[in-house]
Amino acid sequence: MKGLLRLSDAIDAVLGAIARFFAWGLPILVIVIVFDVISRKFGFQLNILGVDLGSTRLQELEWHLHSIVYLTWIGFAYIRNTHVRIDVATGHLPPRSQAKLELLGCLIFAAPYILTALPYAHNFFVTALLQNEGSAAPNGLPWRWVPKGFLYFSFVSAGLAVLSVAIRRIVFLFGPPDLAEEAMPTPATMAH
Amino acid sequence: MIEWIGDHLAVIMFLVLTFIMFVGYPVAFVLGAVGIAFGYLGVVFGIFNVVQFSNLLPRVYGQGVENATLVAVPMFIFMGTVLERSGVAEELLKCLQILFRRIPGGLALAVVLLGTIMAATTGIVGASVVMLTLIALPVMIERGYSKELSLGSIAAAGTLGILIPPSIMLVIMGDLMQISVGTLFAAAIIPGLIMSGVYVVYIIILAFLKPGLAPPLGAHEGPQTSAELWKMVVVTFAPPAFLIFLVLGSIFGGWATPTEAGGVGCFGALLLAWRAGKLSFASIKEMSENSAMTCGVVFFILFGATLFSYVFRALGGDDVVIEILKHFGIDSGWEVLIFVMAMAFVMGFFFDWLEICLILLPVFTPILAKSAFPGYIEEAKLIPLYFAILLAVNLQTAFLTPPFGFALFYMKGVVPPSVTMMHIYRGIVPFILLQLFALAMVMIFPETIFWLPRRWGMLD
Repeated sequence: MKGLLRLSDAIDAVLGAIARFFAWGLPILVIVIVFDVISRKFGFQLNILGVDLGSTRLQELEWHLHSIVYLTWIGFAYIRNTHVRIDVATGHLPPRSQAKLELLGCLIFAAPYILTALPYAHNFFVTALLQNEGSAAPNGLPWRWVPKGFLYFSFVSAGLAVLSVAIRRIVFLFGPPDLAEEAMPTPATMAH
Repeated sequence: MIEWIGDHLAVIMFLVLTFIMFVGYPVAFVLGAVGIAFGYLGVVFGIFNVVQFSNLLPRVYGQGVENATLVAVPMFIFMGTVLERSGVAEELLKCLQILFRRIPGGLALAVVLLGTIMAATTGIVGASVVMLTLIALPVMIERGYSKELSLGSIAAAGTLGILIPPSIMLVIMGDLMQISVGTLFAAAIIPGLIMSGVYVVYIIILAFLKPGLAPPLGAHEGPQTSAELWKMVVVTFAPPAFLIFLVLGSIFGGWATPTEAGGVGCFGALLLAWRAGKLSFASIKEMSENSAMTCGVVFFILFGATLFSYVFRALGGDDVVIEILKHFGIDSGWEVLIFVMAMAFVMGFFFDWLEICLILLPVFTPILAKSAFPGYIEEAKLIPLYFAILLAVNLQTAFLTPPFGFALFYMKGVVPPSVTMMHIYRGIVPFILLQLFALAMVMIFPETIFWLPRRWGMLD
């Protein structure tokens, strides 16, 4: 039980560190957009280390950044319990019943969804990598495996988050009292 | 029996989804899980092919990842978060409060106007409802306002954020319906102002009839000379005016796409926060993380709904819906429209606007686009725009209708303990009726939608 809980802690820590790091994508995205608007308006373009940063590339960079930010947060948002849920019927149940429901949800809803999606997400990423797929636009960005890799990662991280949440519920429900206290899920926070 | 189930699998899928939502497990997972489970069931019934599962990831990728329009979503979320920190709203409320000091119900009016102005700078409901509740509710209660009127006006004003552009909901609608987001923004302005105007008229009449509910402030408060008053107005209105000019001006002036306007607006909001001394490394980090988390939540629902609606349509859901409509004799444009509006309203009791849009729009947009509103809307290409704005107005109520109005939960999270959920429920009922009235107005007079975009040459 203790080992399981440590695994859960490790998952939370790793997903949290990754998510926090990539959250910086948002302020960077603001800078890219403002630069894009200004440079297009005044008709100049930057050339850094021999790479032209034209508007096509910048606009592709924008959705890359945006996707990377939220794709790294999908799993961690579940750990922080912020995914929207309709708890009018179950919100007032005692903690043990809620923990059982959450565990069942992990097994019945989340696990089949994630496990079905994972192999497809993996293939999607690997195909882009092997074919060295790039933008359809002549001046676009290369390396479509990057956003597709993050898409794959989002399902991996969602799976890990589900595993971590499920472990905490198992320890809480069936573990010794002192560990159950430690695994006790954080009180439900308001969505968003 | 088996055959019947096979034919109606899509309907069963929808009912199962509605039912399972109430288990309280995150909606995003449930949507995806139900989609995939019914994909497998479809395989069993021989109406779905396992190979079709491999279309799912490219769908999700095309809808959610490689999609330049939706970059606006994180930007408006980020902008709302930054703006909340900048203290602009507090200043504005103080100023509006003093301007309306002699009018009965002045404080409630100030809240509605504040909601309208803030709605024109940011596109998310959660942020504005929480912000308005925190800054306005204590003042209103202290001044002897009835709790119900205070809560109702705050919730209604706060939800204007999804209707008055820039609005995240309109961005997502535009993306789903292939309407330009700029046109949707222009079309939503007048309906948004009608909504806010209806609130204002209601509050004035109510405060006039029952002054006890909303006592006036007294003339001794605030600056006494008109010069000081003007100075205050200019100083406090300048920051939000600057932001509205930056966001809406850059869209309608043709400088930036709505997506980019979100980024420009973020930049403006960061400047305002910096000017107010609220910007530091730690605060940027915290604001980025909060916004990023909201993005993760929104887009994971988008993933689930994309999977769900793909399977729903692959199982023949569209045909089943048309068949059911026909069965009940709903086939003219008006009947379908009113049916969808009623359905969205009812769904609003349980679902968030995002789920409603993601589930209803793909199914009903093609059906409605083919229907006719003779003598009413002559150009067929205007019908999707008409539908989109009506739905957007209608979905205002999705935030407010018990038991599951998002705005109500945001509110409950930040009100003092003396305010109960019952106060909130009672407070919002008149505003829901007002919203339905505004919806009827916009529905009956479609020029309220078309006039502005036509004037700006967006409908040619």
